[in-house]
Amino acid sequence: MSAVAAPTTLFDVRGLKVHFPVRGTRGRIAVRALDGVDLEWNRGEVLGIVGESGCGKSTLGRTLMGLQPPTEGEVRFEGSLLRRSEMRRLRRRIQMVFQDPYQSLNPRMSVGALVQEPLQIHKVGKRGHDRVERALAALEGAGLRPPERFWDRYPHELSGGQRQRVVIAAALVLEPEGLVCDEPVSALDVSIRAQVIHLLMDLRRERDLGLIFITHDVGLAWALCDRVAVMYLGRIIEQGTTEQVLADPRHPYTQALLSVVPSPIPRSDGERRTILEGELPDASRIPSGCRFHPRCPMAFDRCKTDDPAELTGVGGGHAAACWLVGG
Amino acid sequence: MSAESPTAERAELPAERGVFGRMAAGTAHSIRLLCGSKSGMFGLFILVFFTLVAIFGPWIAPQDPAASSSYSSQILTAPSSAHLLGTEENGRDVLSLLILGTRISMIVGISAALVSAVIGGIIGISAGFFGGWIDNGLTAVDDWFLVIPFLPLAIVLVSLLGPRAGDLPFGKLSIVILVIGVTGWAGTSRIIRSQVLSVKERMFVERSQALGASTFWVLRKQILPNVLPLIFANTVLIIALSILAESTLSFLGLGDITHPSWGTMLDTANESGAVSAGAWWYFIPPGLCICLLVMGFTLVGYAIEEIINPRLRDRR
Amino acid sequence: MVVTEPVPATSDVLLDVRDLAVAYRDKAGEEVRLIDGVTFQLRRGEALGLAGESGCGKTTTALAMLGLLPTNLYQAEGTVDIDSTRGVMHVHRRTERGLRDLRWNTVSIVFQGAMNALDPVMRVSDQIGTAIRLHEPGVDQKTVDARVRELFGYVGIAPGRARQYPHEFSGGMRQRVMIALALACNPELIIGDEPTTALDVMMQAQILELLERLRADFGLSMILITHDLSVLAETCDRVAIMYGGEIAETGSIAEVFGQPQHPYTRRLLGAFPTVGGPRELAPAIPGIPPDPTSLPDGCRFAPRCHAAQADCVRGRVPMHPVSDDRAARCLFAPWPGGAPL
Repeated sequence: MSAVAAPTTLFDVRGLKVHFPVRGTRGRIAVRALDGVDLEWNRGEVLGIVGESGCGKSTLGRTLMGLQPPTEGEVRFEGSLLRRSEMRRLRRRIQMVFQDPYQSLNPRMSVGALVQEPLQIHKVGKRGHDRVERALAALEGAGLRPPERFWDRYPHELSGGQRQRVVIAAALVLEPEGLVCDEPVSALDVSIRAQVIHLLMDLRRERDLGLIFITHDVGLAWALCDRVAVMYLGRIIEQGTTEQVLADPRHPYTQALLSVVPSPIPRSDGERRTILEGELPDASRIPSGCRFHPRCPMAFDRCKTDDPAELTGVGGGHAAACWLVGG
Repeated sequence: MSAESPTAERAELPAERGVFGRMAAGTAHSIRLLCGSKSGMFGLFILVFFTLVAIFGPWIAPQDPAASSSYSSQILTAPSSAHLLGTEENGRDVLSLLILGTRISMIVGISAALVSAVIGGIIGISAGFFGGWIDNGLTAVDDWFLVIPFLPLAIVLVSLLGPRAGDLPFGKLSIVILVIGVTGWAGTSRIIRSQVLSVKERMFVERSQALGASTFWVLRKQILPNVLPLIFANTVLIIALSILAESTLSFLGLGDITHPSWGTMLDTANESGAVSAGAWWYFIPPGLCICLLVMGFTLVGYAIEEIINPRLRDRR
Repeated sequence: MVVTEPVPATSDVLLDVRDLAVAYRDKAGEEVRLIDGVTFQLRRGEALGLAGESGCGKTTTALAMLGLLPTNLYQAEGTVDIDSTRGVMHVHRRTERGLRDLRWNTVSIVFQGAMNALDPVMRVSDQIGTAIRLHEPGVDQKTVDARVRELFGYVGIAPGRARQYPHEFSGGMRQRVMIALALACNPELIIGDEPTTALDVMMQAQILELLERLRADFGLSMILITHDLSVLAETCDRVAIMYGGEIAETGSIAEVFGQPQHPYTRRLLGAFPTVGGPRELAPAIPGIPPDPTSLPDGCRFAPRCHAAQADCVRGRVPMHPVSDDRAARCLFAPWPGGAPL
């Protein structure tokens, strides 16, 4: 065991690109799901990755977990490059919570078997009693009480919220340092959503868990995250603390996005909604220059030709990839 | 703080029953569900009947066709109280031949289907799971076997390999079993491959990988349990086809005369002129039995497929 | 047999639903009610939001408006009356033939997952054309084509795309096609059942803006069904919150969202944090929504309610009026200062 304190940066991503070669009508083209992403995630931090569908946020989550090999760029976990040999160490410490609780559980495995599976895979604990205890504790930690009552049940006997708790319990049983959650509550009913979110927040507090929270729900990101990164068409176009990005957005896309998020609090007359025309372009046909320029209400000449590949700082760690920002 | 007893109870419960343990439990459960299907029940009844006949054959049959005492001069006589199904061209009791033929037909059918299942299962799982060039290669082999007409290939193989069968158990029948098995796996492997491909894409498999599961683990714990029931259902249907195949080959004279099956009976009936002599008791019963047994396995196979399918689909 | 009365003096109320109950018979022949005692009114030109979680009965209610209940469900009680320009229609009394006259001409619906409800092998213009022809038999092709182009214009689809197939449209565009389809016969009331649920925030904003514009241009009345309270707040005038097959609270958007009078509404609102507001989620509602086959005695929300008292489980709770057009199904309504958090 090293005497040096554990590094505070869990994930360090530089220039990450994930391109999927696809046979198009005009020969081979690439779907550029991720097109140059730089990101840092620190221990104990709740990082929100926000964007619409097609922006690449799910691909980013899967690449961080090693489920998708990068085409270019590097992903470092605790300072070391993610290679196959590193995968096991990564998966022991970082777990993933998937979106659809109805699909994430093997229908032929009982809850008890599901929650013990990670222990068996990583050979943690002794067979039998020890592992059962750990699994029961994890079920309890995920809010399934009493855990014994759920032990023999099968996924189809559980509600959506309960299934998601089983997924979380299976993630907790290895006592990870962080969870990568890809839309963990989108498929759940509204009142159940709140339960699962509260569970995640409690766990974060009690166990000092870091969270990467991938979502399209800006309201949830506002309430839960410490830092937020907004993605558009494979790039992070703005990042900073939650207050910075969501209350004082600098990138036109973020501004438009926030202006159209519906809210129960009636809008004041002065606030206008910037509803963007059209829809997200195909990731295989990314516009030239700034990828947002065709839809950007503030685009000017430079935007059509120059790609703001770097984020420009606006102070205090807040940065946006836009020619209107900074100089 | 959990009480000692609930945890102790839990620790005594096997955490996992293992693939075969679960299969056994699944089979019992399936049989219970089968009771809901009328055609399935009918098929099961037929199977149970023939199985009992096969097992207790030597004790039920009035004669032992292999014994020289069975041969008599009363050739091709119609059914009477002495011979319920009359006699064949050697004067032997047809009913006895029929009863003992049950064993042969069933054993060959089931064994051949098992060979098919094992080959088809391994190839299908490997192709679906590993993908890439392994998949391409195995699928090409599969295509080849699918396209080649079964009968000519089987005839050729049995004719070539038959004479060398001498010391194998069941003699020439082993060759027949192998040949049917080896020529019949292609359909199974296709179905299995599809199933593996679809299971492989399911989110819970990806989740398992995200947890750190090795390839082998995923295969064993995630893919296999979702594929074995299908193999099981498919095999039952293949048994039906194998029985038909064996009957065909035997009818063509490629079976083993020393272990006569129903197909062999049809062959000898044909050869000995029983058809033109109108000795219906000789060729209709074996034909009927083949039909009934094949129908039995088919009905049960369909019923099992019906049971399995809704379970494979996720339920909300 | 169509029963219509001569058009009375134009009243303000377009849709009047009273004590509506829809049920099915279970295996033992017992009646199981999916919705019960549903009462609300929709005024002309108004947009009413019907909010609640899955299983609360909002879709069943919508289907009952059109007489589109699946065959195993039946209307156990109540009345549904539509005071349309073509006469007063008692939906609950109509036969299938009479209902066909009502559907699409007076009331149309945009379904949940509507994007997948388009026939994949039929051109989009043909699908809309079919709808038009079903209600105006004998209309000629030119008129139909002109109308289809007109509709596409309203919903913002380039007229040149009329001859395309559904798969050539994206999700958001297909939803626009569904809206065009719903408008095909000039209805007075459009029901939208989770019309934007599967869409992105930006696409959702586009669709909601479209609905807003159509309402203004054509004086359409609208019922919007959704679980997303924020969406309701942006588009509707009034809201009815449903829980466990009953209406829990009604009132104007400003009133209900500003000062909810039912504990369920209060907690539900708390599950939608607003950017710029407090950075927290209200405490979660424990448990799961009730099963219609085993409803609790007394208040249906009581088992999960943070403000429940002993009286709450004693008997069915009626709607308690809070003001002229506000009511809440809570023993303690009206709560001064709103229902507790």
